[in-house]
Amino acid sequence: MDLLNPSIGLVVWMTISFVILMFLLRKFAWKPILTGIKSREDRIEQALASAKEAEERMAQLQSDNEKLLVEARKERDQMLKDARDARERLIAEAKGEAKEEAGRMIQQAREAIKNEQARVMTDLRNEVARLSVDIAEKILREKLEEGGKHEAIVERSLQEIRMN
Amino acid sequence: MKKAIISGLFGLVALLMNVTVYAAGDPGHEAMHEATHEVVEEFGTNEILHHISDDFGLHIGKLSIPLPVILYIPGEGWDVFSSNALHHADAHGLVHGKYLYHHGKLSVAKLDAEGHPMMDESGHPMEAMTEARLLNVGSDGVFYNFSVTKNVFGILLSFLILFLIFSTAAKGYKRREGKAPKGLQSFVEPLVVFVRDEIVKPSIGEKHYARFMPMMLSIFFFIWLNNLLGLIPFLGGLNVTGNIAVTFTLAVMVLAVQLVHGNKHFWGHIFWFPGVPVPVKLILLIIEFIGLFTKPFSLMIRLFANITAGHIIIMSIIGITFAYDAVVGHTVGVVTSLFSVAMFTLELLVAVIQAYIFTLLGSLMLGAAVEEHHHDASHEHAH
Repeated sequence: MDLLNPSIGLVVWMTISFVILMFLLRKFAWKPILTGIKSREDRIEQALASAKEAEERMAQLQSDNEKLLVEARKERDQMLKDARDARERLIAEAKGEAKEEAGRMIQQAREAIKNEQARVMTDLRNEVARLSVDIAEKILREKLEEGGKHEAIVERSLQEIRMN
Repeated sequence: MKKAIISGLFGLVALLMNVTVYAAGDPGHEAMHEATHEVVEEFGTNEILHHISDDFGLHIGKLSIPLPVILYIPGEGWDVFSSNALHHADAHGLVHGKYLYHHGKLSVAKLDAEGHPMMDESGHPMEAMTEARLLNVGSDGVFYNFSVTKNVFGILLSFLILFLIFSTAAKGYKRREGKAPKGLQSFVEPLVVFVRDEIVKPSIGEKHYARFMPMMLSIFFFIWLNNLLGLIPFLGGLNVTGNIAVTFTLAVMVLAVQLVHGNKHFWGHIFWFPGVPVPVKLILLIIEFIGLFTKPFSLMIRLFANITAGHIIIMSIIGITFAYDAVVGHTVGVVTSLFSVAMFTLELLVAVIQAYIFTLLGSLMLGAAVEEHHHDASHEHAH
């Protein structure tokens, strides 16, 4: 059966040409194709990995931002609180000082009034003394003029002074 | 014997058609049966056998393209002539005064002292030498046929096509490095990636597969392309992968590579199977040793038989179209034409499946040869 019995010539042709083809294809086709595919696959894998990394970094950045925002907000609240405290303290301080100042001024006024009073009293006393002298003078002069009436005048003057 | 098989197959299909006609109640079916037998011989068996066998010269339609006939005759040396000469035999049936060419078979004639061919009792010229084939190589009475036959032409044509397609596609990777594939490149790339990721890598393993990629890619595309070339009508009836010499060579190459790359683990499993008692080791030695050769043998037969069978069936159905066209009329021809379309479609599928199977099983053979020793622990326990 020739159909099932390989022809020697065809085996030789096939062997030689297939080996040649295999080497030619390896050099001019399979190597460039396989390395091309491999390097592209590597690049794609790398690109995917770096994309994922970028995504992660992005997420990291976002969470950082959020953290910063929270911190900033907290800081702002703190500052506001501080400012409010400071204002209250200042107001309280100012109030205290004002009160003190007012007290002191009242004190001064009181002292001034006392001084004035003392001076007025002194003036009054002097005036009284002068008036007394004047009166005494008048009395003396009337006694000298009318004799006897001056006692009533002294009496009355003294009465008046006492009433004052 | 092969003739008997093919006429049997052809006859069976013809019989089925007959039954159909008989059921229709044709009174003349007896006479038609006679006529059918004649056309079976004419359109069927001979034509089919001629198609699936190798041939000197290429016949594209009615055009006959001569190819060189290259012969080596032990004791006489080389002889080269055009295959056209084979069609111009002299009155004695001789070509070039010493060759006999009958039914596509070339032989060296037995000549008497005057240079005339010697005839046997039935009046046929006697053969002195027949073509050397694998089972009679080196014996007396053989000559060696290194002609560029139909199949050698097919092999060279397919090599040219393969080289043009894949070297062109490969240029794309240099010219447009790092860019998406384009044109022929994007046709070739999924196929190459398929062979790599679905066939070779899983069978051989991540570590060693790269070494065998060029061989397995070449085998896959060679088989696929030739399966397809064999399906193109009127292209000289190429039947490269349906020729046992071609599948034999491919299988032997895979075996050779397997034996060359076989590691200690591989040989250990063949000659001294680990983990079993000594008598079993001896039995396994015989079984494994035979198994070494049955695998490539099945590779050879599987591809050859599938492609040849496909060609025979298609040719049979086409033959029936003509046979019944001559005997019954055009109606049956329409039906059988539809059959042949279905068969052609099936064969397109078979073309790629057989390429896939050959590459897959070849890869598994190579994978077994380079498999790493990872059953160490279990073997040690078994000892």
